[in-house]
Amino acid sequence: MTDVDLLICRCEEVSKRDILWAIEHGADSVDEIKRITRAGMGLCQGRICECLVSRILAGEAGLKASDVLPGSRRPPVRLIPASVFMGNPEK
Amino acid sequence: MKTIESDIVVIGGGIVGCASAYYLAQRGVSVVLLERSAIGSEGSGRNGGGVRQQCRDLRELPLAMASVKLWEHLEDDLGFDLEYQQGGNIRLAATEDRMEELTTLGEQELATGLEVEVWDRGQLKERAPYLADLFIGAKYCATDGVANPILATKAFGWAAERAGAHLMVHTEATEIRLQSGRVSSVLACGANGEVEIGTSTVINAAGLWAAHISRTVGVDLPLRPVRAILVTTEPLPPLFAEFISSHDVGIYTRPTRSGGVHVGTVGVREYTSKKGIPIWALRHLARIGQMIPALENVNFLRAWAGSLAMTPDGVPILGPADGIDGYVLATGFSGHGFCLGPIVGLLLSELVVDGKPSLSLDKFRLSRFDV
Repeated sequence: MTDVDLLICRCEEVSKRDILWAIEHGADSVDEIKRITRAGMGLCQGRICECLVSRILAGEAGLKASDVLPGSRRPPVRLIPASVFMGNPEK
Repeated sequence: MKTIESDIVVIGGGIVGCASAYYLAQRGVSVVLLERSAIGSEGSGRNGGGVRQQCRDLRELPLAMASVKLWEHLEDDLGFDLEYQQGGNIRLAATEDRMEELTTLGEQELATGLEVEVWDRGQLKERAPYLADLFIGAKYCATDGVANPILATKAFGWAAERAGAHLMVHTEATEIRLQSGRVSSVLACGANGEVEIGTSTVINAAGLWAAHISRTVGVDLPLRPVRAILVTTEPLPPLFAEFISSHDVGIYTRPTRSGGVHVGTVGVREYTSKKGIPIWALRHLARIGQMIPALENVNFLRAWAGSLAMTPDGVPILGPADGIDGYVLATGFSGHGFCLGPIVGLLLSELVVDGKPSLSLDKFRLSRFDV
C-alpha cells in the first residue's frame, strides 16, 4: 500500500489518489474537491476528512493550510428524521 | 489590459456553456469559455439530475428526445462515468383533474413519437407498490432517467478542454462590445486582471446572470430567479429505480449512486436569489413520507440549492438575438437545462459553424416575448 492509497474520506471511501486527481482536474477548494470526489459528503459531513483534504490541497497549491477556506456547511448539519420537519407544511 | 482572440466566446460554465464549448471545439474552431465561479457551480450542478422527456412543453419535447439520444452514448463520448441511468420517470396524479391532464399529454407525446404509458390505480400499485395510496394513477416513460449533474457538467468541461477549448474559470464577463452592429469583443475580469477577447460570436449561456451581461448590448432578457432546493438522505436499502414526481404533493425524488435518495421541490415558484436553505423548504421536502410511506422517518443528511433562470412561459430562450450579428442566446432554461444541455450545445455548434442547426430553434427565439 502506498501513500496515495490512503483513505482520506472514510464515509465515502475516497483515497488520496482521488483527491489528487480532482486537484489535477481543476479543483481549487475544499468544496470543489467534495463535488468531484464526494469527500465530505458522507454521514460525518466532512468532520473527519476536511482538515486532511485542506492539507492535501494546501500542499499541492503551495499554500499554508490556514489559507485554504473551509468547506460550506449544509443544513441540517447532522442526520435529522424528515418527520421532525413535518408540522405546518406552509411557510 | 491583456488582449486575446477567439472565434467564439461562450459565457457561462454550466452544462449548456460547457456542452457548447465541447461541440464547437470538436468542429475545430477556437473557443474561450468564461465562468465567473467554478464549472457547474449554479443550476447545472445543483439540480435533481433528471434526464426527462415526458411532461415537457410540446415545443421542448423534440429537443428532449434528441438530447436523450445523445445522453445514451455520452459517457463514451466524454470518457467519464456520469452515473447515467435510464431508470424511468413516473409522474403521479392524486386527483381526477391531474389524471385527465396526464392522459391528454400522454396522447400528444405518443403522437410525437415518445413511448409513454398511462397507468390506472391498479397498474400503479403493481408497478410501484411503495407509493402511497393517495395516488390514483400515473404516466410513465421508460427511457427517462438520471445522471450526476455535477460530474456531467464537469465532464463536458474537461472534454471541451481536451478538444482544445480554453476554459477561464473565476473570470467574469463584464461587457460585450459591438462594432457597427456586430459583436467585436468581450471584456472579462478575473484574478489576473482584465482581459479583452476579440471575437465575432458570443454565446450567452450565463443562466440567471445572462440578463446582466445582455444589458451591456441593450438586449433585455425576461428572466426571474428561482432557487432549486434539494435534500439528500442517509444511504438506504434499494427501494425504487425511477425518478418520481407529484405536482399534487409538490416534490420529486430519485435514487442516487451513493445509496440515498434526493428529494426536491416541484412547482414551488418562490422568486428569490437569496442564498441559504429556508426552514419552510425542509418542511416542504419532509412530505416525502406522504409520497413514499416507508420514508416517513428517513434521515435527512444535507440540503443545498442553486439558482435557476425562469422565463415567462417556462421554455428557454435559444438562438440569435435580433439586431446584433454574432450574439447568440442560450438561457432561461426554467429548470429544464440539465437534460437539454447536450442537444442545445450540439445545435448551437451547428448554428455557429454551419449557419443552421439540424433541429429548428425558431420557437425559442427571444422575439416571442415581443408584444
